[in-house]
Amino acid sequence: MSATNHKKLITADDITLIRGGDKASFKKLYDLYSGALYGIALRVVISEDVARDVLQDGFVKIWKNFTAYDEKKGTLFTWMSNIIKNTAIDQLRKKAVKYEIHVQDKFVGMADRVNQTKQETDTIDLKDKLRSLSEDHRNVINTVYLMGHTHEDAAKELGLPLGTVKTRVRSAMKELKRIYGTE
Amino acid sequence: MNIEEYIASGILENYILGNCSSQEQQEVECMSHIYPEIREELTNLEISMESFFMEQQVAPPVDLWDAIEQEIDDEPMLAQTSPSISENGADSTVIPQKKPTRIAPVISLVSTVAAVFLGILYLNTTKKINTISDELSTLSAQNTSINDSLSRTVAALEFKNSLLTFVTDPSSKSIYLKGIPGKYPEGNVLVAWNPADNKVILNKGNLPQNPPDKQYQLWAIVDGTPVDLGVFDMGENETLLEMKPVSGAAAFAITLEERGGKPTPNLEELYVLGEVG
Repeated sequence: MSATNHKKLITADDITLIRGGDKASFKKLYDLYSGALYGIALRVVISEDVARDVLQDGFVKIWKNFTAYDEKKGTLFTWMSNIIKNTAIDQLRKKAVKYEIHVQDKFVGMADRVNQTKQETDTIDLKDKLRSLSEDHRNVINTVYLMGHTHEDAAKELGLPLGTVKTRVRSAMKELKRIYGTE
Repeated sequence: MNIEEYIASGILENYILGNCSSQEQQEVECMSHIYPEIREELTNLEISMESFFMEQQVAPPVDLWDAIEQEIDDEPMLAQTSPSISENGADSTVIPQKKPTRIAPVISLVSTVAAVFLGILYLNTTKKINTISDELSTLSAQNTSINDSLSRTVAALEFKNSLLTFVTDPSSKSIYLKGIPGKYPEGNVLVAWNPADNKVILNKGNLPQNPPDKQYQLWAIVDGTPVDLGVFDMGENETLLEMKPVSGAAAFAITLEERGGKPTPNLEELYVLGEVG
């Protein structure tokens, strides 16, 4: 599985098949995206056990609600990642799990784990790309997007002044587009 | 709105990150429907985010798919009309697990009601606009006619003012033209003439209605010769007329001539006559 050609792997036909209840196509979707979505769940809930539950619940929701996906409103990944993210945040609140550690520390630890996983993949060029999105930028995107934080909350979470967070979010998204965008 | 500025404002990035108010969310969604450039930029951002998370992927537990497969075997897919999951690309709110939101049918119902309401409103408004438009053209026509009548009134007033100046001018003369016995003895017509500026004003007086093929013609007698001062009809609103100017008039007379007048008067049809005193 290579992340470079994943866009080609799930076709409009696959989406139609899944809508019609085709489990083989849904398995294809799972194989393609479960890693990225598990990564998202893990970043939010930290615990591997909880992340496993989140992914399981999340994929069942994705399956059950697949007919609600509307390609006109956004990409399939965005739709799925929102489901996983929201399920993860919900799990956090439900279990009233309180993490005292700073999110920044969480993500530093996470980055190590991610890099370990990356070594198993064959996407060398992407590893270079990952390096070019700085850790600060990665943290800020993860904090704002994954935790559903406002800039103000993210500033508290990251222990940074609000202005710095805003600037960092801005430049992080710019860099993200530059590295991954189609322009 | 300038689309490039809108894209550059950073609102789309905040939308993708789920970091904007619900009002801003609606705005972005609305804008993306209208402007393909915005939709394109959003897609580009979504693909960037996807690549970003694809790179940060972590292999999930190997037996997880089996567990999911087992669960979805018992879970029927929901019908398209009742999606219970928010599919909003930037929804930062948490999906409630205990109470699945059934907001889509409500939105659909509200939309339908709103559409019907807007339709009725549209028809009503169109009707009203048509009525107003009709009223407007009526009023506009009325206005034109009032303007016309106003300018006629102003012209008449100016004329009467000039008349007043004229008759109160010490050099102006009033000449009474008397009815010719045997022809029209009760005739009584006034001509006001100012020898200083040669201006002639006629008060048509009580002449009988002329037949349609004929017109009265005013003459001035200058050095014993009749000079044409113009024709007029009885029965018109204006009783006072400014006629052609003349100098050296000794007398004034009115004859009934063929419509358009004649170069010389038909004395058999002489109605009134008056000498300058």
